Amino acid sequence: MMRSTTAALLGSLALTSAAQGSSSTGSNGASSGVRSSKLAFAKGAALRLPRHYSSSAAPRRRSARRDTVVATLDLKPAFSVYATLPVMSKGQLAVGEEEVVLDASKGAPYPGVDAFDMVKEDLTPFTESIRELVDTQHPVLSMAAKHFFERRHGKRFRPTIVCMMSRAVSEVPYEVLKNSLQYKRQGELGTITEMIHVASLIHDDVLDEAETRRGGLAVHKLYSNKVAVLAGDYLLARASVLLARLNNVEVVEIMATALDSLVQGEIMQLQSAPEDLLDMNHYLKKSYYKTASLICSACKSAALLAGHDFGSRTAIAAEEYGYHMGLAFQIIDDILDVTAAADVLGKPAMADMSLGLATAPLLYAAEEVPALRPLIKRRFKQPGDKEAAFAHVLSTDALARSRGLAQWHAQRAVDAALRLPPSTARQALVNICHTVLARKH
Amino acid sequence: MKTTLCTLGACALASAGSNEGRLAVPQTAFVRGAGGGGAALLRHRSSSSSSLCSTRLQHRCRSTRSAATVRRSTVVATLDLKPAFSVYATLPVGSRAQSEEGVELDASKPAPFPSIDAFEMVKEDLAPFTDSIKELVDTQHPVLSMAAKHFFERRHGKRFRPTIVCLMSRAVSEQPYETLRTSQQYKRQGQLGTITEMIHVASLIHDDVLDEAETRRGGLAVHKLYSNKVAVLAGDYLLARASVLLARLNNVQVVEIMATALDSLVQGEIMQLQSAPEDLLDMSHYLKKSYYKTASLICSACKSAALLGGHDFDSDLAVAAEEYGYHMGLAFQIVDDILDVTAGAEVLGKPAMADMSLGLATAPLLYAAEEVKELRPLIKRRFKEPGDKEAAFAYVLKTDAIARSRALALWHAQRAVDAAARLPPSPARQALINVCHTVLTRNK
Repeated sequence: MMRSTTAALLGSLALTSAAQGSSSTGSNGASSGVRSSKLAFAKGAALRLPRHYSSSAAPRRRSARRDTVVATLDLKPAFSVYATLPVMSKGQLAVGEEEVVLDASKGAPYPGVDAFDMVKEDLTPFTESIRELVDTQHPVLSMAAKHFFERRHGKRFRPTIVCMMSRAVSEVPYEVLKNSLQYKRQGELGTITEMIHVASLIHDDVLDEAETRRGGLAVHKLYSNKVAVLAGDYLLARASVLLARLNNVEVVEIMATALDSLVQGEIMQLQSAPEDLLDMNHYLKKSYYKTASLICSACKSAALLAGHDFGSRTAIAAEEYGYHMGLAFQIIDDILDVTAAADVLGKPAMADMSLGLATAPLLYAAEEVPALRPLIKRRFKQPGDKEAAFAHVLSTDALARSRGLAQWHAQRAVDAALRLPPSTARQALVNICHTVLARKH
Repeated sequence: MKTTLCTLGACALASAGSNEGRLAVPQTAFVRGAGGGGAALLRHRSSSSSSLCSTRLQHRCRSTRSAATVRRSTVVATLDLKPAFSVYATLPVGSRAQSEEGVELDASKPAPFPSIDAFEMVKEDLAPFTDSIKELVDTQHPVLSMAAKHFFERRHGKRFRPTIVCLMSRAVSEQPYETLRTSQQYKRQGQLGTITEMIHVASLIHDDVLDEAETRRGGLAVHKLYSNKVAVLAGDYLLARASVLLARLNNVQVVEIMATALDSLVQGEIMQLQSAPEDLLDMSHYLKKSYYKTASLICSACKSAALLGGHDFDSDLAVAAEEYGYHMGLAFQIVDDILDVTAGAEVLGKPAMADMSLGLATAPLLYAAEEVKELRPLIKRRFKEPGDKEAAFAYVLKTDAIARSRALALWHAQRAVDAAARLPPSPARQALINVCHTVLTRNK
């Protein structure tokens, strides 16, 4: 696809079912007003969603994005900009770029490149600075926070992404970049992102009453709701201060909006109309809010801190990468919740169902098995619901379709990454997409 | 004139009881150390941990700021955001700043400017406030919006913080109100008031999860009506919305100041949740906590209003605004604490002696404990044992603790008045002074 082909096409088709094969070129419904927008933004359009339930609650329209960056940024949630459901057309590739096709059954596209290893040195101060930051001299709080940071198996995923993206959008070679103030600030951004993430997890645990979280007892079970609320608030407040000190108003607004999205996601999860629970769009929107929004905001912010304009190709490619990779990540997470056993995952299997949540595998299965729908609508409340639902899922190709969806998003992320300048960091970002798809826990 | 404030921090927490140190040249009306006027200060208990406090505070300053604590004369990306607590006085010192009008607050007399009604003055400007809040929290989520609206409407409060911000915005303005009111600047300052209130309400909602308060201002605490889940979410929602609005003010200094205020709120809660027993007897500790929990938000908002009004971070006006907010906020909290002891439950809208029920020892109790040794163990064990609260109450009444607490509040309110007097003359300034009087004389 030519560079100037706008992604405007995509957005309008974003919600069109791929399975229908409805639009071979994907251009039917989008005839109206494809803007030659350099900003690559998409307009909403007519939806035909035979196999994906459409929801009556479409995202609210926002005003058109301005070309120039003014005090009021157009912060339309990325969800209404980028595609959520597969369309036939592929993402734009940069002209002349190689095409990298992800395959979860094969090895990573760039075997010699280990993303987590690459950033290890740069992230080492991370844990230190977090620890110092949370050294509030308050034994309970610092214990809670440290506990969370150290017990987690996680590879500090978000700071890794931010670090890698910072390198990938840089116009100077890494050797020069690594000593710059810019890179330092981008590192702070990674710290801020992780603090926001951990704060939301801690508050989540108050909400979800999760018994275990990533192999350690949920913070609040060890202590109490009081401390959990406080610990989360503390991290959020600290993150806000650090964010302000980045001295970049656009980044402040983007990250504040990401925080807003996180809360929106929780709100959606807390209470949705029963019919929404069956809606794939609703599920993807919630996944965006809860997971992808933070990642894509951080990626975009990294680009801005590198000096790229809000509407630049690089910044948009970074955002799109984070968006799609975040969604892929969440979908795989949801698949694993159904398939992996508790000991592998570090949290109870079918935890989502226990919380009354219907994720991609269940939604796909419900398309084919009407008997599953009432279970979803009543949030698996009745005894035997979870087991029955699990059986229904296995009796369809729902898992394969879910993997297909994750694959599609991961591939879109790869395509976005390839619009960044060639670099080792870019290769690492591509590899990460593969890792996301191939993870077993 | 460029009195550096770095020296103040070290002395601010020094016990008033010692006579060392000299008074600073108070052109900036800052007070150095507790030295002079020692006589008036003998009655404030010095704590052995006060030096520990200052060390800790400085340590905190050091760890949060990579640069030195010296205040720069130019505004650069890294602001010196030493908490106001370590800048302004907390305990009375002898000298007063020079003020033009020399307005003397007297709680037993009427307000200094009888024809000025602060809340009436801002009513029109605040009218859109409630609407925009309602709109903002209209998340289409029935539980959340119900919770938030419930909170906003059931409160008896007069929207105190937005009122202060509004008045301060007028008071620091170089234009007459008629011109100001239609300006973009005033609109943004109004937003700031909204943001301040959202942060405040969010902290109250989260507080209720923490404190398990049965009633809050006459309405059932949000979380009792719903659940902890919703309370945490509702608070988070307000905070997130406030952050977005704050970012849209497009002023990095203001963002940092308000973010620091939020940080202070949390610090205050942390202090309250767990303090070493000896700290519980320490007046400095109590005032520091009161700063964090109450005054910090108000003084940050006042300072931000000045910045949004185009004043420099270090300008006389911005500093005066901050000092006003700081002292008025402390006075407010001290009076609140006095009322908790003295007022009946039906008047206050929350149970009497609620602080003691939460294990908190406030000014009246701390003053009483200076004279009544028997009270000290009760404070240290946070009034846990049956009969503790009643016994403590009796001790307080036996001493002049209430009167001394009122005097402390008066002192801070007077300082706020003196700070306000450094703003240009205007009806808004008079209103700000009246507010200090109102704070002192409220009986609920």
